[in-house]
Amino acid sequence: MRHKSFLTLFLMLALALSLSIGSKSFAGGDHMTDGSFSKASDLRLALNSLLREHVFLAAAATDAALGERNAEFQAAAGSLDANSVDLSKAVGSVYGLDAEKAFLPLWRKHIGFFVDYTVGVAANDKAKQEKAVADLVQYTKDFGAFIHSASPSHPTNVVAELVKTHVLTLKAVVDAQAAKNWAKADSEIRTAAGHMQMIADPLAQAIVNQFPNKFAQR
Amino acid sequence: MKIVLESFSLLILIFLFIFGLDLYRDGITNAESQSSKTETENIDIKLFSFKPDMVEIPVGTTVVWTNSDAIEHSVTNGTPDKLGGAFDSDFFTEGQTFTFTFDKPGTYPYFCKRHNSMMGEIKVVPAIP
Repeated sequence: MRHKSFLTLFLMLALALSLSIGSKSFAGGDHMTDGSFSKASDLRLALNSLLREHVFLAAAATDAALGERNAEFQAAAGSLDANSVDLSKAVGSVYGLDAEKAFLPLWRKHIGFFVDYTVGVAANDKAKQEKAVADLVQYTKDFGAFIHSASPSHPTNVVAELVKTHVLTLKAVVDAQAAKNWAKADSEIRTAAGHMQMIADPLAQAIVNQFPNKFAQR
Repeated sequence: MKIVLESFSLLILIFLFIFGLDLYRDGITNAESQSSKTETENIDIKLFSFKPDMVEIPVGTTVVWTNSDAIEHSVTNGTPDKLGGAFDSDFFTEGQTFTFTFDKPGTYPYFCKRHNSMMGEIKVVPAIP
């Protein structure tokens, strides 16, 4: 079991690395003639990297929680929170300290709801699971409103739908982990991680459009 | 000689009229600015934050909160753990305002019931006689 856990983590890291390299290739359109990346592509890469990392770490945490491997869960949860802090700093670097301070508890909130869902699944507590899903759906509207406030070109409902897909893809990971269907779990992790590009890319583009001077080519 | 004196008096009258008018105008401007400073305080709710989040006002001041986020927020006296009871806007959405007049000195913490991490504080001090 322990061996499988390490193997899963290794595969996740390898996948993250390959996705990151893939993103860099994808960002080739932003290359300058001297081979350096533009600030805009740096931003897109950073957001893609952080959001995918969020999925991998969340999946590692839920897997450990369902397997009742407490030390492993604590480690994954700690890294997941460090990722949240990094995301909030990325938000702060664009929108300022107030936005950074507001973003972090909002982002942590959905992680808390996922913990609730995972605990509900582990205990086979349907009511707890349903409450957590309802909280997560409600949360998608909050997150949509936050992004809309920061970048008005992003309609609240569009962002909410994107985050809802994030919630559903990660829920599918937890369900597969709980069913010990490892092939499906890994496949769902790939789907969930891949979907984060749907959030990161348009968000990065909107930020660049909103602050053209800040992201002018080097 | 009489014409000179009359002309001089007329000049003085014109000077006093213009100077007096300026003083009058200054008085209105100052009164207005002082009035808006001491009677109304505006707080914007934007990006899930109260801006400004800490405000000090004299007794009798009316505070107006305007929700600029596309989601419901509340302005609720107290903390998520302990409600204060002095005021509660309940939920109001984008473009709507909540108004409350502070008649008693004291410190009034407040938060949003939907997003508990959103907190602010109003410090009400005695009015200067």
